[in-house]
Amino acid sequence: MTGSEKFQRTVSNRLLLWSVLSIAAGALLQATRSPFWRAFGQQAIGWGAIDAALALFGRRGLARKVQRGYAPAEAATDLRNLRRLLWFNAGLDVLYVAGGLALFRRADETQRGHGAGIVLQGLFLFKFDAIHAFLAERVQKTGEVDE
Amino acid sequence: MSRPGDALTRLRTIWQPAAYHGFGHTAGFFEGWYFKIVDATEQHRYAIIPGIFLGKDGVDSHSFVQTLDGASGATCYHRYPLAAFSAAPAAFDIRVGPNRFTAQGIELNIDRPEQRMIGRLAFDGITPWPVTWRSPGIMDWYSFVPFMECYHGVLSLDHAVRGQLVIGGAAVDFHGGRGYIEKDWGEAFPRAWIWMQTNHFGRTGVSLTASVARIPWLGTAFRGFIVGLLCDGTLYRFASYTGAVIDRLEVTDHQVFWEMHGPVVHGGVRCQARLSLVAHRDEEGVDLLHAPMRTAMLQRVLESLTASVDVTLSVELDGRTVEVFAGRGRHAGLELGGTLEEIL
Repeated sequence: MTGSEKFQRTVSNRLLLWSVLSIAAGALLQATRSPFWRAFGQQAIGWGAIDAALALFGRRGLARKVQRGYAPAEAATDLRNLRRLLWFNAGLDVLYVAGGLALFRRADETQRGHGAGIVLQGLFLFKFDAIHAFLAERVQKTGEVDE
Repeated sequence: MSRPGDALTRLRTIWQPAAYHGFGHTAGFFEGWYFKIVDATEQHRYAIIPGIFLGKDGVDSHSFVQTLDGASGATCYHRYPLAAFSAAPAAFDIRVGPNRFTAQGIELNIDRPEQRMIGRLAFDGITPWPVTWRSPGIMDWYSFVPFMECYHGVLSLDHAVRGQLVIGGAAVDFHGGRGYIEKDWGEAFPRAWIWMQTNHFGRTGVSLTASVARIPWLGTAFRGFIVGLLCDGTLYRFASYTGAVIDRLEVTDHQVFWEMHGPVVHGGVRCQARLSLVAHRDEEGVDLLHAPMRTAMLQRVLESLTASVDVTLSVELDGRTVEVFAGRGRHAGLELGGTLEEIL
């Protein structure tokens, strides 16, 4: 297994773990009566579902490539593309946080809940994307993946 | 000076509203606990407020015990050095000089020319505002927000009082009396607020606490409010964060009219409810208490224990309006502070 393949699998698994936690927490929060926490939970469910879809899509694509024979050159190209995508996403995450903060300033409790939910998801994804972009660069150079 | 453990203690105290929240703070902070005690005859009514004030840049920092005689309206502000204040970490155990304050009771040793108040009171059956992992008290999720100007906590909506205090030269027996405890902490009091509280209704176990204030919020401000009515073991909550709405808030020379509606849980059923509060001000009992402003303890708070509040709570059940409670609360604390037009 190449470093690139191992790294892609790790990124997908970590994103899937976060999405499962998000959906579970969001579902729990739907039991509350607070408009803030319900909205916060709805964001967690929504973002969790998107993250899960991305992670599962990534895992399936990787599995298919491995099945038909994943050439080291193709794996290296995918790793480079993934690193670029992660940096691009990190930029988008900043916009999500800014949008969430704008909602968080509103007077309505439900909007504040949605805003706080977006901020949390955006902050997590920014950290997730930035860290993995750095790690991808290291894998590109050394071929080693930190678990 | 801030210590490494202070941050952890402050994190823990999010879920412990009764505890001291100032660990690590050296300036621009206040915290005050409000103990209301009324004896069984209802002739003796006092508010006792221990606290700490850390002035901006550390100037004028001190601790204090403030007392209000609810019958006469007289107040005394007993100033103590900062070093006279101590608090247990993440627990409700406060000492200001020779005075001690806990959830179980208070020990007073005020023996000064301007006032003598000595004795020990014990509290039974305290009923704190519920604290849960996602709602750490009366401020609900706002308790997690680190930049609030002022935080609020209700430590007991109603409890029994027993014990005796020597006040002046006379012994006052508080056996069979009722009490209430709340607190505030943060940078400063809001710029404008209305607060009312009473737990002396026709029957024991009913308690009302209500406050509305201007809340600075991320460069803007909003009118935030929190109302709790404890009635027959159920706490009916009306607050900005529950989705409740103020229908009317009006202040006249002698009355405060406050009407609101919002979702509550009544008999295990979620339904819409209406709450009407009419506070009757009694100017004779009004005196000035010290409230923490940003730079000094200034005389700003108009407070009394001689007001009364008419309370009417009704709920909508199966399309019918059902009156759940109606009554008049006596010996009510009433404050109107700051630029009220900002919240009216």
